[in-house]
Amino acid sequence: MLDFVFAWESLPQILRGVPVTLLITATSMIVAMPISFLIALARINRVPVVSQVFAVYVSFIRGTPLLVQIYLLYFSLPRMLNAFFASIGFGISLSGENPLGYAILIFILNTSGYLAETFRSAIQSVPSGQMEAALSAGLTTFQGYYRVVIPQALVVALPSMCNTVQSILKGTSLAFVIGVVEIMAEGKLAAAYETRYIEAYLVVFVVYLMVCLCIEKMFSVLENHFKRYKVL
Amino acid sequence: MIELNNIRKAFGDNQVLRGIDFSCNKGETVVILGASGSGKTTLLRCINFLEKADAGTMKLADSYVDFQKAGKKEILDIRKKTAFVFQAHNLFNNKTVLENVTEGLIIGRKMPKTEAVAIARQALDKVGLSDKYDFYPGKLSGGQQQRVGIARAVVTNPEVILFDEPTSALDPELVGETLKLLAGLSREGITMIVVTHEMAFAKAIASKVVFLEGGEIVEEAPPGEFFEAPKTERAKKFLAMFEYESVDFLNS
Repeated sequence: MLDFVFAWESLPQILRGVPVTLLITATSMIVAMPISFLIALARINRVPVVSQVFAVYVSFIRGTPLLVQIYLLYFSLPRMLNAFFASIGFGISLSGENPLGYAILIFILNTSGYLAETFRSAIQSVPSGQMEAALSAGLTTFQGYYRVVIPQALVVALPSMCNTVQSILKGTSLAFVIGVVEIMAEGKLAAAYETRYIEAYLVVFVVYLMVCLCIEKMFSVLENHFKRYKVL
Repeated sequence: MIELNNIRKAFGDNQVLRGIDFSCNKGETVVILGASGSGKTTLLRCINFLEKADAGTMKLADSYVDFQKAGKKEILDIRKKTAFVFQAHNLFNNKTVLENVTEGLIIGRKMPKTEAVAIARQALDKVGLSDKYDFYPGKLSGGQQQRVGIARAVVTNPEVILFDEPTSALDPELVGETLKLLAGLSREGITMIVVTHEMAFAKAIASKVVFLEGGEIVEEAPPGEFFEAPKTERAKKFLAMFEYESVDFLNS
């Protein structure tokens, strides 16, 4: 029989993981957005070398499991950096003491790979006449992107961005493997008290669902707001 | 005022402009005619650097550019002295009608916002859109969009406005309002270069007709002369095709 009292009592503890989950999600999204736009623009304009490097980067991110990316980066990056610092005579020694920092870094890198592709197709969906009109109005290429093309591309990208945010959010559940105490980790801890895993995971399930529904709602409000930009 | 010398442009193996020499005085309305593929639009786009010509030079007011060597600064300078009205209107979809018109002033020319808005309102009133300031382009008819496009070009007070088939994308009943507006601008003495297929408009408004074929200027004459007594075979053929088409259209 399910112990609903236990489930109810474990809720506050599991909810304590929500801010951490949201922090990782929001930070990686906010930092990844400008990076992704740069990657997308470099690829669209076929900037030599940079464009190829980014293409490989995007394939790596999209072609490997997030869990493997987390393990690899968390365990190898400090060592590589330490070796690098040692080689240039710097006495800094990093360790895995700040799992949250690593988690955020990994999610920024991961999100950039996915968002770059979303933005690339979104930017390409904006008719070339928009940029031409901006240029002929005396704007620079940068101003044309910043003021005309990218705002329109963002509107096109909104539905996929909602997808991306939700997959980062759910992906953060993997961060517990490196010791980040987010929703999933709180659930595991709660379950461990009375070895009631099903109840705890059910609560975790519901909490993720609620947060994702909120995100969905947020994006649908945004989509509605920007509908007026669309050509009818 | 504007003087083009030996403009050449190729897309791959396709020579689209084979050495265009062309000039236009202040206040003139030059109409460029020619079959599709003759290079009219490319010529217009080269003047605005929407295409980069392979060779040639241009004098525009006090600016001089060599197309081969033109750098970012020169291109921006030329673009600020010209304005382009597109066949597909190309209004900024993410901006209101008013913002569409002020964009080139505030961002392109660093004009204070209040001044830009006042000028833009005046221009929009003139094209009959005083009740549409806050509309987004998606809510306007094609004719209204094109009038915003024209207001957007006029407000920057350019040396010359380039019109690329301004009526081709419009429903027939909306063509008239746009042509009337162009005729008005022409009478005001705004320098215009117009690529169009509207023969009646060309006849009525042009100070000079330039006939292009195969990337070359075949004939250049005042409209009366060009339409009544074209000198070249090719121009005669072109005009005959239009008469034939219109008769054909009436019979169908």
